[in-house]
Amino acid sequence: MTELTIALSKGRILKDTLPLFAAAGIEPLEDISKSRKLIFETNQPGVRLLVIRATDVPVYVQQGAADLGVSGKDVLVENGAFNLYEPLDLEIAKCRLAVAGTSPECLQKSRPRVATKYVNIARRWFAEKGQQVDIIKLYGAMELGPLVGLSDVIVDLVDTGNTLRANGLQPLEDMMDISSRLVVNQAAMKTKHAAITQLVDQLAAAVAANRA
Amino acid sequence: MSTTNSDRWMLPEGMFEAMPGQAQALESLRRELLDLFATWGYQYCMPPMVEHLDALLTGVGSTLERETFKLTDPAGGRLLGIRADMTTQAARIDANRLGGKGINRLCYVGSVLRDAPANAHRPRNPTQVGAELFGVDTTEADHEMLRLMVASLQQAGVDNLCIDIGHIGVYRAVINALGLSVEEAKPLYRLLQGRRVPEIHEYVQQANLDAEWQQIICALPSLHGDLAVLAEARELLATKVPEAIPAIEEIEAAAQLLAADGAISVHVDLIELRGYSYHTGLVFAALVPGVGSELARGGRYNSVGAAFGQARPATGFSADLGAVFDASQRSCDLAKAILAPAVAGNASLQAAIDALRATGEVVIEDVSGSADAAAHDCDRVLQEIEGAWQPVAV
Repeated sequence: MTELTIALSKGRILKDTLPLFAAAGIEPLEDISKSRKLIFETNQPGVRLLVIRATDVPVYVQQGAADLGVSGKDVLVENGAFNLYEPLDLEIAKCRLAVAGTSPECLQKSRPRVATKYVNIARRWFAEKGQQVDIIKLYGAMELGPLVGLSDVIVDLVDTGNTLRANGLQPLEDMMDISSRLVVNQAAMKTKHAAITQLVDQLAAAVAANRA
Repeated sequence: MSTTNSDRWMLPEGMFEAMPGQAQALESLRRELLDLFATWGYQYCMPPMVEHLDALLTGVGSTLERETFKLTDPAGGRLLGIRADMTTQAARIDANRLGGKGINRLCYVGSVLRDAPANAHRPRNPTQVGAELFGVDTTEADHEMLRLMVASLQQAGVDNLCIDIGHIGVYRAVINALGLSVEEAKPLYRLLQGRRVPEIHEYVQQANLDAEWQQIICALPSLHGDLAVLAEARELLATKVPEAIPAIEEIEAAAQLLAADGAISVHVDLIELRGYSYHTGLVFAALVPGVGSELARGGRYNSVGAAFGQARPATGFSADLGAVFDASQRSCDLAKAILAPAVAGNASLQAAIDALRATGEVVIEDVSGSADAAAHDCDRVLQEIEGAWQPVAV
């Protein structure tokens, strides 16, 4: 069997990812949630899983430290998908990326301040709209920004909208639909094409079965 | 802002320097590749490190605007660039300095400087080595270049070579048949380049394409793999994109050229779009499993010399010497040396040292008088035995 290293995003995405890989015949030999390890062998000899932060997955795959990975579309758009192929939408961890604020007037200022961890996406979004903004990079709890006067609006993932509502915010502009993607290192796609194509097909079948 | 004493030692981000041993090994590889090129009739040239920026950013360099380091020429005030790639320099030499006539085979090696994407783990100052064949637009020329790339990597000792072969003509034929200009096709180009399959499905829906076209566009990202893909591609494209067939045949001929070599695995990729803005025909790249980026790449790029006064057919390849070295089985160990006593006017000792050095042996004079062979990385010492100087193992 061709050796394959697969980088998975830990946390919420991982819970939805593992059943898809199980359906494709790849299962970790131990319970990932009960282990502090970072590398997991699987029932397929030569196939191993790395469990890492979502934002790190593209880096591992771009550099060839992993052949494939599972990464949120938000991370791919934010960091640029250099040296990656994106053959499959896994249709998990679905949400939207949105501009949010306390009221639509928040965006009427001549130069609104935008708090976000998606600095590049936010910059591009407002540039395409022809709006000059100041961007404040935060690493979490963006909702706090407008409440304490740090920013006028935020750019963040919106799932149910409950967190926004709980903090008195509302979605103002819908930016894009987000879900998790299978990403493949471009060189690995060529040097290990038989094994990777087979895995992509099996995962595609698992995604289709999920949808049904 | 001045540099403090404590961080003066630090190199700028991504700057590579080779240490003894490694530098020697890289230099050996560099010489071997240049010797190989020479035996194929490729003539060595040494273009300058710095040129006028607009000369560097034409043709093959047209995509290098962001990566190129710039400076202003104090004499004349023009904007200069530090070369990020030497292919354009070779094209300039062919089209202008050599008059753009006949067939020119040129090769080069040198340091280039380019800002790399943050996640690319190669240095920003790689040593680029390459060969270019100007003035002939034949399949035979394409094949020569492909074979020279393979021979270079084999000379370097790279095992498990995977050669990727594609042809820009397939994609061009598809967008022509769709009636799209290069500009209009840009969204599709970006999606195909990243093989973003989910977005490609969205694209064909939004573009109002008929069922047959939808099937063709959606199948493009999977038109890669072993040679069986070529038959699949022929069938898929036969009616709607007949202009793609000659390109597919060129891929097939090139793939068959390498198929006889059992040590090489051949991968064909019909929509490999790397270098799309300047490539015009057969393209190829060398990879090895476990290395996340190409070791070498090349292909046909006709009419690139036009910016220098002569549109010339051209094909070539280049490689990152360091990446090739890292993928090879070569060692960084220096040859073990012979420790000799300091000469101090001793004519017979001097003669013995000269004779050994003439055979390629490394002889180190013990100028400190330590007599410590190990400290000098020597496995022998030169001793006078019965009036004759002889290396003796320690």
